[in-house]
Amino acid sequence: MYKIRTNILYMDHYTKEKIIEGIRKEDDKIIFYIYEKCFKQIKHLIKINNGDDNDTKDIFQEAMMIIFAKIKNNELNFECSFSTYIYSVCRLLWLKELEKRRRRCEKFFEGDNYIDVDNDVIELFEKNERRKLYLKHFNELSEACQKLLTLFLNGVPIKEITKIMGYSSDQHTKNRRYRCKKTLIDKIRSNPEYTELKNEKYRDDNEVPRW
Amino acid sequence: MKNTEMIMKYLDGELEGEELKWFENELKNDPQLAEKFILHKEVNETLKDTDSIRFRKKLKNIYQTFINSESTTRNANKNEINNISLSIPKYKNTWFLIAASLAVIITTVCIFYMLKPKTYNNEKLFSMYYKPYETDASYRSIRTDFSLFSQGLRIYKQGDFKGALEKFKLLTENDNAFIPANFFSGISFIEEGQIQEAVKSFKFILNQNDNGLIVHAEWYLGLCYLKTNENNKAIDQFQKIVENNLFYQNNAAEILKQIKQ
Repeated sequence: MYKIRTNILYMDHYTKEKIIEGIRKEDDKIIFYIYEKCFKQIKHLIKINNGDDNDTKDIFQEAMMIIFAKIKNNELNFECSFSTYIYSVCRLLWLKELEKRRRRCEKFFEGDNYIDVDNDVIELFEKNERRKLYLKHFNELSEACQKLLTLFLNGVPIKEITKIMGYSSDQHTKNRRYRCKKTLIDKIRSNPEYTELKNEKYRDDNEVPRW
Repeated sequence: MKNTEMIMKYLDGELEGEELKWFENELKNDPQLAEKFILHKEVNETLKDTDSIRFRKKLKNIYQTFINSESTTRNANKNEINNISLSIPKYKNTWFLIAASLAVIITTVCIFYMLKPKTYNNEKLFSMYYKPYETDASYRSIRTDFSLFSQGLRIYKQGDFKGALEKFKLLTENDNAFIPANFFSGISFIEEGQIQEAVKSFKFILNQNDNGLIVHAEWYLGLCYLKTNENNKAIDQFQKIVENNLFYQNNAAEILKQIKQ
């Protein structure tokens, strides 16, 4: 059998390599194509396994984030088609999510068109969950705090930062930075979701990290 | 010095000598400090990773565009769980329309400039354009008889169309409205040379509202008419495809040109 000729126009427009390169370059066209080609299958998988549209949106997005991170780290390696790979990542993430919600159904409905993905997928997922929480609280900081912390993290010299922010002295800049960072860390630590995510991390590591 | 300050200084590389030794020792022995330290480190990494922040934003925007294009181009299928998920492309996005339009233009120009265009009879045209529908999509359903469909599809993929027909027949006899079973029956009938039966299957699909297989059924129905030399019906069918079915538009236009010649 062969692919229907007209499919070439659409379905076969991008090879696996093109798709991966497109993600690396954050190409809108390729990302849209991935949604068009793969989203429906994932939606079906999640819907028949106790999920809804929002779950599909989130799981698909997290799978894309994981793939993006793996591409950036040159760690993405799979033999199957891209759609099979993303389906496999989403399947694993959804199983993990169901486990977390303690809503694992008696039977998980799935096709046989998936592969066993690398173990680091779950690690990346959990890391991204924590990152989302950090960013949520970062975005709640005042604009000045966000700007100040960003400038520091981008390695801008303190004198320059003092000038940009219009502060009276470098010491004042340092104090403000300290307060901003402390506020951010305190907000994160007081969020119950953080405790849960942190426990998940340590549970996976099996011990409190040591240096 | 407070924990947060020490951690920030350590991460900035500002701790030295005894202070540095003391801090590293504390990290080993004080789990709470260690946890805070990891948090500081991860927050810094997160804020520095502007690529990921940008990519996440981009995903959100593209998802929104995707959902908008979905809702404007298709009616939501309320009984989705009972239907079969097929990875049929939606051909209404801008890129596809541009590509499809370009393809039509290029095809037309090429045909126009062919010095000695070849003409083919219906049989030849059919063999040039017909191939059994290939699917690598995953099919899932909560239907109780779904395993029968899966079995049929597996046999179909192996090229045993007669065997596949037996399975699909069991399904369509019990529940004629099982659209995918009708569709793959149609293809299997063509393969088995039972064109009139195939016509019935495809016509049935075309009479059902809003299903993803209509676009393919239209095409295969046209090919059936070609095969049975019902040229008027074939012309009508391919004309309809040229006008409304972007998926097979180019091929239908080519066939029409050939039939008319």
